[in-house]
Amino acid sequence: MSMEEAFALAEAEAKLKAALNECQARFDKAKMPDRRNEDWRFGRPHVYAKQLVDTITARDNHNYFERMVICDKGNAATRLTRDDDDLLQTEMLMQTIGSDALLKRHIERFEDGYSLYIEEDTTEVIELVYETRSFCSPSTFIMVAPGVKAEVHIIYSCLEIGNIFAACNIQVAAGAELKVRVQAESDGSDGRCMIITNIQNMGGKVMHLTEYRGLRWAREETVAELYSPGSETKLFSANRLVGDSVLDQHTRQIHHVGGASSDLLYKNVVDDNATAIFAGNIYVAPGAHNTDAYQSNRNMLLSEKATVHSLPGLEILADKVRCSHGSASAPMDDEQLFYLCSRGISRRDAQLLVADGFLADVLNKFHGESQSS
Amino acid sequence: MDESPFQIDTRGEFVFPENHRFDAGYGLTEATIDYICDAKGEPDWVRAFRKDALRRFHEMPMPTHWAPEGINDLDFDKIRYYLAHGTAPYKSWEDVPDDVKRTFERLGVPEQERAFLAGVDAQYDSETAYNNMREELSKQGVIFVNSTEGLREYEHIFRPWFGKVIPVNDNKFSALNHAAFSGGSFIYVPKGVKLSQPLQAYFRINSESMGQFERTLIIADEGAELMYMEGCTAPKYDSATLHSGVVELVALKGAKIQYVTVQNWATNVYNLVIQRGLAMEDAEIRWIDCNIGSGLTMKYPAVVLQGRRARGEVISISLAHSGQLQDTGARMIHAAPETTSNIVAKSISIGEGRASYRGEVNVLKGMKGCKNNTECDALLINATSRTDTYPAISVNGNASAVQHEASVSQVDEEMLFYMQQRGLTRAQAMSLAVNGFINDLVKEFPMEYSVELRRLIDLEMEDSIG
Amino acid sequence: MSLVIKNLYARVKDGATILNGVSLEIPKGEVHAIMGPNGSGKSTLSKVLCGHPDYEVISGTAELDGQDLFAMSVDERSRAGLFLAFQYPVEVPGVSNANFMRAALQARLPKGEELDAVSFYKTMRSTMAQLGMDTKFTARAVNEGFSGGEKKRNDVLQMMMLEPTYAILDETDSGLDVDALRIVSDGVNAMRAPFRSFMIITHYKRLLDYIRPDVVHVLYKGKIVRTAGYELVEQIEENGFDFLKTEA
Repeated sequence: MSMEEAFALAEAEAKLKAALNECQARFDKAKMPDRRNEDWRFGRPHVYAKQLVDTITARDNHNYFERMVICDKGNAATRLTRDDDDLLQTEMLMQTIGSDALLKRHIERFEDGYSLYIEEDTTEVIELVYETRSFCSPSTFIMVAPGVKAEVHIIYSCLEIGNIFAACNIQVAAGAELKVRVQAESDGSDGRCMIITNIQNMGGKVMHLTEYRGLRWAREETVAELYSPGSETKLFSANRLVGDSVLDQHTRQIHHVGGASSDLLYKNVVDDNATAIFAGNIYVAPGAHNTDAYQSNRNMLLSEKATVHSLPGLEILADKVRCSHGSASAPMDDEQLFYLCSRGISRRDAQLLVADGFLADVLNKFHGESQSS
Repeated sequence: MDESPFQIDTRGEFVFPENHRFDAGYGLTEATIDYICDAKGEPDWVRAFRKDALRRFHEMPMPTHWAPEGINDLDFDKIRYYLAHGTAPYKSWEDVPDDVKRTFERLGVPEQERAFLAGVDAQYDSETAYNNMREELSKQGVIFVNSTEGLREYEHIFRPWFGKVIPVNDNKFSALNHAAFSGGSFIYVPKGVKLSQPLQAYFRINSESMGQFERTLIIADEGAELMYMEGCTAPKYDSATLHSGVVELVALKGAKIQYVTVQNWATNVYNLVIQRGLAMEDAEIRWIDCNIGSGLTMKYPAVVLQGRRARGEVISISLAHSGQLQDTGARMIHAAPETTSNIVAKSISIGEGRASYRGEVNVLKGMKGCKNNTECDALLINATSRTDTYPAISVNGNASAVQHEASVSQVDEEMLFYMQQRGLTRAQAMSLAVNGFINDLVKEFPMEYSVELRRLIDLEMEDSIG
Repeated sequence: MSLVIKNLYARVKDGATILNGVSLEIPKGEVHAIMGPNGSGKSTLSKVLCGHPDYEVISGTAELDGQDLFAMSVDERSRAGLFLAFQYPVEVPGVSNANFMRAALQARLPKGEELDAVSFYKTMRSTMAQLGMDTKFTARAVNEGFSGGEKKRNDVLQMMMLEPTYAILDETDSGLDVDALRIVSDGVNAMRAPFRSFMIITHYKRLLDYIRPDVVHVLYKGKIVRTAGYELVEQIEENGFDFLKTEA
């Protein structure tokens, strides 16, 4: 090892140590979700999140996977073990949006998950399934090497009354292209799921789609960081909420440097008694000039008792920035419904068609227009 | 690019020596309240009311969800809560004490009164120094007095609405105002009376560490219409001053109230104002708000749309220079069906200035046919300028439509070049471009004010050419 | 008294060199046409002379009546008498044409002197009438939502109002129909005077039939390759720019 290399290594170690200390300090201060915390204001932590929060905080609890499957033809995946120090440290440095205390518990009882180090282009989708009937708390790490193209599909399946608390860290190198589709679903009446995702983009292209189906309560905290010029991160979500389900989505698009672009499109169709919460923020750091950042939250309300809370945010500290956000919440267009009904389609079916059309735009953007037909 | 094209207006930057007959000293205690009540000769129920508010003020925490961090630098013990020459306003400028009169003359108030106003209320520190209204309006039953006189002479109209739009426990600052209020206007416009000319209030802080807690209640009875305008200035002192007013508007069935503010406090004034209006059936309330001065402004004019088909609107312009945080916005609470609201907010951040938009739009459960449209545009002049947008939108039910759009932009270099090619300096070109950016909103201000406004922001090109 | 350009080299900021030693003299009272195929540097020349921030001068000089043009800021150049009618006039939202022109004229007055609003509006309206512009354009924001032809006409209006001593018309004819072209040309011709000169950049003979140039230059690959009288226009009209290739 040359002098410079040794020096660099020592410096890197010192930096990591400092970061871990800071992280420890952060965790020491972390409080359990509470309505007084801005990030949980509409999430009703005491009513809806309580069960999941209780489970993850219970000391005698252990992770229990019903099924953990990985379909990986390229052999990129490795099962995580307690000895993976680097990954644990990576996880400690993850950012949450109001849930440091929960992440801390998750790390303390770290049990299982996968790391994917993708070094070659994969033609087939790498599929990852986490399934539980009780509670599981998996960690997933995805790292894509420079110039590599890959697609990953993660399924979190809460069977019956299963609960999942998941952490996912994604790092994309320069020139790499990654598509991640995250599906959280439940076949029971009381599935709850919370996913904390960090996407670190070092100059590649990332597309990230989340879909929540049939869950009683779901919370998403997605932090997308852009670290080098030319990075391009797109966040998508498309959901149909029924019954009295609650979907609580929090996102951050953080531009550390200029010349990168981020885009977000989250759409929800909200029916019955359901509630959709979206709180997003775009942060453009001082000096991150020539940033492109957009954020759009669109909601379609289908019933009298449906509720939407939308809190899009911008914090711009740089110059020459093209930035905008929009939020729209409205009922279904009567003219469209009328047109469909006049062709003999029942009102309910027409509603479904229009609602699907509303969400299709997101899915098309993720999958590429070619698949839209 | 670093050179600001704007000059801070310095017309309010002068001071006369303090000459107070009443001074309640620093800090706010029960004794301070007794002092204020005694000085004003207030009835017992007001004294009890103030003391109850004081207790709540001490109990309540500083706001967290809805506040910038700078608010915590405010030290309530270093504020003087009541300073006055005398407690009764004069009806003629002849009678107003000389230094006070000279102050308002320098600010051009008597001149404007003669030119286009229906009435004026001029507040100097804690009390109204001058209050007068055109005679024909009194004959029509219009009431325009200060809050002390309103409570004393018109208790039967004032009291039922007092603290009803903005309750004492709304937040810490509303409790503070309920405890220490002094000055401000009480206006009642009877059924069907439409004022063709605006009423104006002018707020002047002329003492160091002053806390000004004006209290305004405007009631427009069924079908009545009025426009009210307020202007604010203070010289810059070494220690911070606080302006924490409460403004309640009540627009009864079919009434229309327009409330115009041009705020140009010195940059070490904390400007923490609560403004809320209640719009009943078919009524309309418009807040037209321009914030240029103060170090920290927190101001989110609100309309509670309480009656069917009520309309609410907020037009907001803010300008943040280095050392200023303009935390402004709007709130619209749709509490009745078929209510509509509109918010247009434009901000300009210059140098290291920071402008934030904070807004709430809430369509309550069971409300049908409500509509809101919100537009926020921010202009960043320098690389170090900052802007934030924090809207919170809640919609219940499938029969209302709410839309919010926000954008951030810079002045187009190509546009500046074009104008410079025509011979304007860069500063003038910038000034014109900024003028263009807010032009559509400036038009919403009454003629006399829009002229004043352009002058204040120094966008009037004749002024900036030299 | 003249506009003198000597051996001017200029490039796109941090990019390709476009002007490769342009030398040119336009004495007062003359009309010069600059022709040349696409990409020869005609628009660049006009922008460099006016000080567009996208371009930088590598070497060479330009003098306006003996004043160093490149030592002046964009607006100083304008006030010194240089005017550019843009190839693509820019939209300025929210700023009315009238206010814009008032500001530009006021900028030319000595300190403390006020522009007379009454005579200003009178002049503006009569000039607009001369150009066949509807007076409603006074209140409309500069070029916002204007058609291509309206924008061009608006630029010529500005020229007539500001009365420059050196006016550059950068492809002012493009986007104008025959009637508009005649109106605009009449405006320019009316402005021709012994104390004023024009540099007319165009591809087409059409405009030069209306505004007869005294001298015609051909710019090619960033250099003036030929200078002659009006007969050069006819030659180009007949044979195009092919002769350049054989010469170069």
